[in-house]
Amino acid sequence: MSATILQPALPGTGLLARFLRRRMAAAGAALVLLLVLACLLGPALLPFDPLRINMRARFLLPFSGPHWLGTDELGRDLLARVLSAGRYSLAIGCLAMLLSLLVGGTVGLVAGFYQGRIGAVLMRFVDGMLCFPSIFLLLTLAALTSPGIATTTLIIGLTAWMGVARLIQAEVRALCERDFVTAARALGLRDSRILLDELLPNIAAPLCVAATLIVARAILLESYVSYLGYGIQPPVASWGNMLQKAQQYFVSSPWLAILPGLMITLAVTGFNAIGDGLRDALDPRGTR
Amino acid sequence: MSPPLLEVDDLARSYRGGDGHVVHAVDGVSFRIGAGETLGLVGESGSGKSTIGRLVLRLEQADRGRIRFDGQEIGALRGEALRQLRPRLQMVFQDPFASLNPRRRVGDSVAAGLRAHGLAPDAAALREQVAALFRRVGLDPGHLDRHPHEFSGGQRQRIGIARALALKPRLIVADEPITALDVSIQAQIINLFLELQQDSGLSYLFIAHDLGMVRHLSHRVAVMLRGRIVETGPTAAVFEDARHPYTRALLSAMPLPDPDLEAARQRLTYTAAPFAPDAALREVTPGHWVLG
Repeated sequence: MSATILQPALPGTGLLARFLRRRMAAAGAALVLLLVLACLLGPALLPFDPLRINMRARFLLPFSGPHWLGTDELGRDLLARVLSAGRYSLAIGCLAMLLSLLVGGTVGLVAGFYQGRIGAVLMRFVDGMLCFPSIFLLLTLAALTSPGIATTTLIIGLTAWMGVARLIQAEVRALCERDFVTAARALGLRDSRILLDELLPNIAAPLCVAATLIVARAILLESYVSYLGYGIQPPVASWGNMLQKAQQYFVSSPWLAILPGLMITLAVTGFNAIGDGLRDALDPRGTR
Repeated sequence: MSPPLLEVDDLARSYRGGDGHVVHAVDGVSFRIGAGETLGLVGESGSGKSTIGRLVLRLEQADRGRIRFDGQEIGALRGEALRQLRPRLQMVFQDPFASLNPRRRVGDSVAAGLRAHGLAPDAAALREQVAALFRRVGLDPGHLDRHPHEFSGGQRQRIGIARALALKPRLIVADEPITALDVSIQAQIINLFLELQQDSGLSYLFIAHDLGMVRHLSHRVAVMLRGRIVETGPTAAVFEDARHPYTRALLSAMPLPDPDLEAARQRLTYTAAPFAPDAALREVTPGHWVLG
């Protein structure tokens, strides 16, 4: 399977060390790790159930009592809600990213390598998909399916892969002009080997960049969809539907909107920093 | 006399430019290469030398013409039959920086062909074979697991040669294999080519524009101009008794090591005229053909 049949794989510590040497990347990784851990463990550790309504404790201010970050319009603990919402938002972001990388990467790789009829047909299909404004496509699909985590992931993944396909197709086309691909063909390598062993490792960097952009975008898209009432359904919290509820009380209780908004910002920034660092670290010439 | 290893007849390939303008990159070229022989293919940039190399290797499809290799018509092979031909015909590239996959360890690059054709029983044997190839081209087998960027240009070219040799080819197409190298390294690589030929009876199609190297390395020479061969023959005949004005102009541009001779000799210029419609190669002395 792998390209590295010949003995020891590139030591993982080398890659990790090169990655962590970049301050932004390390900070981004720490941020994302913190977010993920907080979202995974937080709801279990906190003494409050994110769904428990307490009408006597509505709109409590942050840092003012047992509820560290205050409570919302139904008296639910905001910290517990924002962390359990993060579980859904992050999971959907990552799964949608994997899905669109898989679809977009495969389409781009194949279309870039077979530049004749197959490539043309695939890329026209991509162009066709791009013709629909993605938000409307997203909302139409969301309106037609029953809302939920799986469908939201699927919908976001299947509307976000076209950019990856284009990026990878252009990258692969350029790589196919290079002599090492000609050499691989002259050696009599099968197409599958050229695609997986020669081309795929060379598009790792753009794939990483695309991955981070997509996680970030998928988190945003999930927020849109949930904000508009199609994605994660209340009472289950997601950052998007928390924002939606919060807008009614924005003047009196701005923290209800600021908190989920801040979480989205942190997650998006963190993933972008990771991607940049990973791109640099994956470059074998990047010995700084 | 045994039949030649490679026989090319009336090979042609044209490209359509963006504006519909047709370029005849290779326009009716014929030549032969015997076993253990080196044919030097010289000519200016754009004369179609590299295209011939790619056509012979079946990396590109010719518009017309026959290619016969080792007693087999290979011009129309496709799919698996073409893949089975690959090991016998290999290529060494001009740019050793572009011809190695920057993300693969060089040992993997050299091993790729062996793996593709199932020529190694297991990973250990494969590694041993690759190490032997490294030693054969003068590289340290301890460097198998390095990446291309850790090597110099000359070393990378040796890796490229090792990769070509791995499949035990009969013919290697070397497309300007020394042009991108330092002068001091060029001679080493040329000597490596010569040693390999002596050891295993390889044939070379050696594409170059450095006439000195071609003279040193080739048994026969073919001079190309705008997609046609204008003169071909034994190296000595072409270099000492050039008949075609283009060949003479090329030779007059060759630097001479003696500064007095260099200063005294006259440079010829060749103004390209269209080929006569009935132009054909004529044999002027045995084996020495000139277009006229």
